[in-house]
Amino acid sequence: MQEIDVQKIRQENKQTRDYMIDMLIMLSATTIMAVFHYGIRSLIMVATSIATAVLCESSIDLLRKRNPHRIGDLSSIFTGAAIALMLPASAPIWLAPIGSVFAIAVAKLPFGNARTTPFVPAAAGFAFLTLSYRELVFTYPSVRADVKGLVTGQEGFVSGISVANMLSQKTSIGTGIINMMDLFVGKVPGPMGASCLFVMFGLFMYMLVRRSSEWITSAGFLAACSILAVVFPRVLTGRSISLVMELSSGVLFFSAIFFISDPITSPKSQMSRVIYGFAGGVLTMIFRYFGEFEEGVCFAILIMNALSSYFETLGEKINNRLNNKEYKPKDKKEKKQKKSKNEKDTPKDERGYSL
Amino acid sequence: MRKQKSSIDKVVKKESEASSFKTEMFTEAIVQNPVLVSTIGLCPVVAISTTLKSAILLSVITYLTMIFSQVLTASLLKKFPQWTRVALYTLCGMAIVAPYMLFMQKLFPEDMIALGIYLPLLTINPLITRQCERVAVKSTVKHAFVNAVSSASGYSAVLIMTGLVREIFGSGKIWGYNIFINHPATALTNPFGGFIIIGFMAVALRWYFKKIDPQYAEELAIHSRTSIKKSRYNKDKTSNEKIDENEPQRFEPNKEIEKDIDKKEEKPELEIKENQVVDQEPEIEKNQEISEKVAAENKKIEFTSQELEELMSKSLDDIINGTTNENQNDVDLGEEVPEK
Repeated sequence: MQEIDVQKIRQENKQTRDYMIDMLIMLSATTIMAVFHYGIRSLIMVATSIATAVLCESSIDLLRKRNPHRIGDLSSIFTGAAIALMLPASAPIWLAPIGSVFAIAVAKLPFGNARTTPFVPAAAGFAFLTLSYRELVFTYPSVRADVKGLVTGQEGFVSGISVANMLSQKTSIGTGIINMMDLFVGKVPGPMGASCLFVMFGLFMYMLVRRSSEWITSAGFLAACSILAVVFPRVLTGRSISLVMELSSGVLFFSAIFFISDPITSPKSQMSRVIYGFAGGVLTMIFRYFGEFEEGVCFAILIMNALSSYFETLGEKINNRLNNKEYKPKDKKEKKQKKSKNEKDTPKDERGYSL
Repeated sequence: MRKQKSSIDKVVKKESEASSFKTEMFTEAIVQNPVLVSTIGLCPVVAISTTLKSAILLSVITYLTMIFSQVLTASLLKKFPQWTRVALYTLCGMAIVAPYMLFMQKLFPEDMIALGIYLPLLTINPLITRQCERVAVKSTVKHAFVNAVSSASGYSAVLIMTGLVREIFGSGKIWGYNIFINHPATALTNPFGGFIIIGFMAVALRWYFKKIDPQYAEELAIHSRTSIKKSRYNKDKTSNEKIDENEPQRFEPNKEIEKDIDKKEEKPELEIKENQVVDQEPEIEKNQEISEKVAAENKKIEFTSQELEELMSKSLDDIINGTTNENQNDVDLGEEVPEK
């Protein structure tokens, strides 16, 4: 029988809880901007998706006859809020709950709990929504001055062209954007929690102060995106404008802060984290340049999550090369022993073939 | 190895003749389900069974190809060498698939276009070669036919269930008619949706055999290549241990059966079953009693038959192997806990 360290599990749970508290504080800033631009309807969307996520996790735990104490991780609240904030404000209210149910029932709980998931569940949920409801996810409403406050229905919104859509069509700057100030404040049609650049930069600095070890991955990610945006611009008017437009469009900055810096799915050493983030940025820009959708960040993040163990070994190799040491994998002998044991154990057919 | 096991085979294979069509169907279609347990032939299930109609078209042709190729191997192809047989299986498949495609293109032209390349790819379905090599080559024509029907029905059941789920939630229709789902999740019609649905179905089957019907859990685990602690499921059957541990019980008919053993074993099982229905006992207890009785009879036969020396030598080997295997399993379970 294996022995279970209760204290170790409690420490790990406390680590995730602390990280999720920081993330929720950061998400609250973006929800405030969403309420400021699009009214109370956005807050209702966020609340419904959080409620469905928590209900889904607790009900599945009760079905499996386990104590639903894992909600104390606050990770389900984080996934629900993040999925809702990436959607447009004019989306129907049932859209975000579907994404959160997929994220928890398919991407998170089959793999265990929040500490053992190989994928970021919120990214998986948003990827599912983009694949299945493409028109609803990518039609963004325009921000109007008279909408503020009490619009709860879907009728008050007028559809506008988002920045990501402009970039994907490879046209020059549309007639809608005259001030660059609108881009920084987030008065441009876009996802309701992610379009304001000022708030995003503020959260980026907050992360540097509070979570410097996780901040490195997002910095590498943004560096790769900005370099590619400057070198290969999709806008005719200039390289600096293309940089601002690429960073402010879509969910790029949002996912750089919240998803790729996730300490559970990303590799653990600092060197490998930088490389991991940089490769993720290159992949997202490739998805943007050649992909089918306007926004391919979530697919890139899911692929990078699958490759994270490879990046860990690569980072260790580079570290050892810099320190003039030879790379020695730790568990090579143990793995060989395991393999030999397994070969003996496999049951065999009458003819001697393994089943 | 083959010579040593021959005597126990004779004992075990007696049950195969007593086993009816139902038990064969149960073991091949559910306990050893080709898709959910041993994951064979995933390609058409994942890629193309997006609607109920296409799933039924595919399942019909799996029935035809399986029955044709297995009966043909059992009747004619037994004496061919192995490397020619594997090529001949695909030729058998082609002989069925080509006229089927020409016939169905007149009935369902649009659906056949939607099936595309995946229907001709069924000729090299690994399920056909596997079943032919494992079962049909060694067995009689009748048993090959029964096995083909059962394994094909297990395959087609999964096809139809995935097709139905994906058509309802993926495109909001049943057999082409609309139902009251305004915004279906079209992502389920992609291949990854098929993988997710198959995964949940496999989990449901595993859960059923673990919690509700634990008699077949070990066999299911062996066929899905998962190492599992055998004593966990086998505590009650202390009498039948020696046969259970070393080989998975596959019931295959064999020509070389002695007549003396036949007469003694034929009688008791079926009569007892009929009598026990009156008592209205639960199924698990019945099965346990039957297994105990079979084991007791096996012991009698061991002493009556002339091959006692072989059995003794084998049992010693088994005892040595069994003890070592158990210890290794214990160590493995401790080590295999996933680390993050």
